[in-house]
Amino acid sequence: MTSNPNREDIYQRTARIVGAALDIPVTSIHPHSSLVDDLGAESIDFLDITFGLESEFTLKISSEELWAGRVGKSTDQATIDAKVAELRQSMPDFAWDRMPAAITARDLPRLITLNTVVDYLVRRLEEAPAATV
Amino acid sequence: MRVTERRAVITGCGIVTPLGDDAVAVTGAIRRGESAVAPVRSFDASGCLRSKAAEVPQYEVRPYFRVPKAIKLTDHRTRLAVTAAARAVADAALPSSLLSSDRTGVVIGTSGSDVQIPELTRAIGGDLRAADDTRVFGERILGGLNPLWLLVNLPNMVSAHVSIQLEARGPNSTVMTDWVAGLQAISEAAAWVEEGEADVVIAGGADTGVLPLLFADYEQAGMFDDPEFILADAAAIFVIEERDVARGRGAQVLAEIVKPEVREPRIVGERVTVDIDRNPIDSSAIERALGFPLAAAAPVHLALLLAGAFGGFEEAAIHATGLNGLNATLHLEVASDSTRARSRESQLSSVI
Repeated sequence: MTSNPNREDIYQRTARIVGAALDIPVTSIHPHSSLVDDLGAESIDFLDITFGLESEFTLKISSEELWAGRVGKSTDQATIDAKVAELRQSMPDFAWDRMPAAITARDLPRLITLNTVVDYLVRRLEEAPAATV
Repeated sequence: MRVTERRAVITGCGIVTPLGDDAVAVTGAIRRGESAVAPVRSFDASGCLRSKAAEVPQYEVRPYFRVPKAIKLTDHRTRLAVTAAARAVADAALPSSLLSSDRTGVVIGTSGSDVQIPELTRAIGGDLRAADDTRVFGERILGGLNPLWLLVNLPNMVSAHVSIQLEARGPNSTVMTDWVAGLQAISEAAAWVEEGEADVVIAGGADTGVLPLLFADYEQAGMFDDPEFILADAAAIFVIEERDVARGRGAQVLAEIVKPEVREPRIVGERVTVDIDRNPIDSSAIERALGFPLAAAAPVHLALLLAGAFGGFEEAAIHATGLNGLNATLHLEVASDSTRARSRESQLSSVI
């Protein structure tokens, strides 16, 4: 391969891996699907998805970076509030109405969407030499 | 003399065998001389000393999983167990209120995992340093294997997945005492019921010997010197219930499990034997037709016994002998309110 895959290609491949891990059809997966709330992912599934992505994109993926990178892992409520306010702007299509008014650290995994994963992969693949993809 | 008034009865049975999934139909097939022994289909056994086995035909497991996502966490023997357990629950007409309870346990006998040799081999690759260097071995395993591999291969997964799929939240155990494990599991279930640990227990055996690693093991151990020793896969799971609980819901009662010390066990060197009304029965036709599914062998005999394979009985004993001299015996009596064991008496004679 001479160039890094484009975002759409990464999205399709990610959706396929997530669908296989969660035993759901790819057609049920959307960019703003919450892995936890919409697709039913549990902690064990995140392991499976990470392994699938590593194999698919020939990357070594830090689970912590992938799953916590966008939403952060801070337990400080002021930091979380600031991060959530940022995400409300950048994720207008997310189903915010089902989240509690005061989002705490415990709720953060619910904010991980397909786009969260794809954004991470796009960034990693841009950093990675194209030949390794 | 009984220590307790609580009594364990069998109220349902579910099987998965290479000759079919209905114990009466399987009995009929055996009587007609049918056999499931055939060249191994699931892997290339052409280079093995034994290239035949009795395999359960491929089937759709999804309908038996309440949570289909969990299928990826299961190996073949766990899928057999979940399937047979679902059938047993249906046969017992066990209501969900009784099943999804912390008074309902699971205990199943099985063998160890096959460790999925192809996946393991691919992960380790040709790097021989892994043989001598634990750190290299760890890196290879952690880096090259799906992290779910361990969860598929943990020894207690058979009973764990049955309980997850059935939502049975009571005591849970997996018995891995070789060929006697399935029979021991059923005895354990009866003890739980009698001692008040549980009111209902899903118990039996689920196993497969049709795996590359086991074929290699058994060949090296000389087990294939016996031309009639054919490995197999199968599961036979039972609903074992406290008698008054079963009576209270109007359940069918197939037989009562009585305490082992009531009768002297007939210790013999054979793998599985059956006594009917204290007379030994030649059950070799079962093994010729279904092969020998290791820990599930004795439970399969029990399922066929309850289906009338040997005719009716007032009392029966199934005995299993494992490698290394392990023994287990299960004693049954027709319960006073048994509906099935008696009714089959006039319909079927011996399978021999």
